[in-house]
Amino acid sequence: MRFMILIKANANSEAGVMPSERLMTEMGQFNEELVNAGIMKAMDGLHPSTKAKRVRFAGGKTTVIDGPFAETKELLAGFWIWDCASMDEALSWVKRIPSPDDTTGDGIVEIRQIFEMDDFGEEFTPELRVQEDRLRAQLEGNA
Amino acid sequence: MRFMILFRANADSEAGVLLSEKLLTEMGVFTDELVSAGIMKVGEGLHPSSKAKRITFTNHHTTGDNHAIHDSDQGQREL
Repeated sequence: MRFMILIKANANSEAGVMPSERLMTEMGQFNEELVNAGIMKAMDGLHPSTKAKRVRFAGGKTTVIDGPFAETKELLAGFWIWDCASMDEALSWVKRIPSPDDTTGDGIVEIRQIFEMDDFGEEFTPELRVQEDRLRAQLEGNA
Repeated sequence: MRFMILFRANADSEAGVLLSEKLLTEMGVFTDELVSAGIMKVGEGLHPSSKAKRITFTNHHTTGDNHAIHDSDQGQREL
């Protein structure tokens, strides 16, 4: 089962404060453990929402809103994708995250399960599944 | 430059309503275009927040001990 681990934004991440060398070191060690355990699939950090755009689709129209966005707690600062045996395994790893923020020690992390092809119903037709397989194979080839 | 495109949840996605064949087909065509254009890196969908967990870190944590963590299954506004 794949999970997306969402690291929520906070005042520091939104202000563009970069992690300290100490936190970078701790995160590096943690990431190394994740890779060694064979569960790490992807990870990245996001620039603050000052550099973001929000595009709203409504009634056939699109509206573009420039960041920054006010609702800091709903914003994302980074993520991992892990392949774990269960939600409990993912949770046990999340509890070991060094610290989401090194000046306050506060942070919010969410664990979301990623859809796999088998989670879809008949709407995901055999033809669409073939296309999905082809596109994923193409992406892996490009990587 | 790499960009993450975040699809926000709505009432249907949070209710676990699966996409129609029509929308899945349109999304497939669009994704095909992204791949052909060489800009696609990865795309995934997330289960509703009813299956999610939120973990709040509240203690200042520098040494690996006394990590106060609160697990919550309550979803609010989610991606």
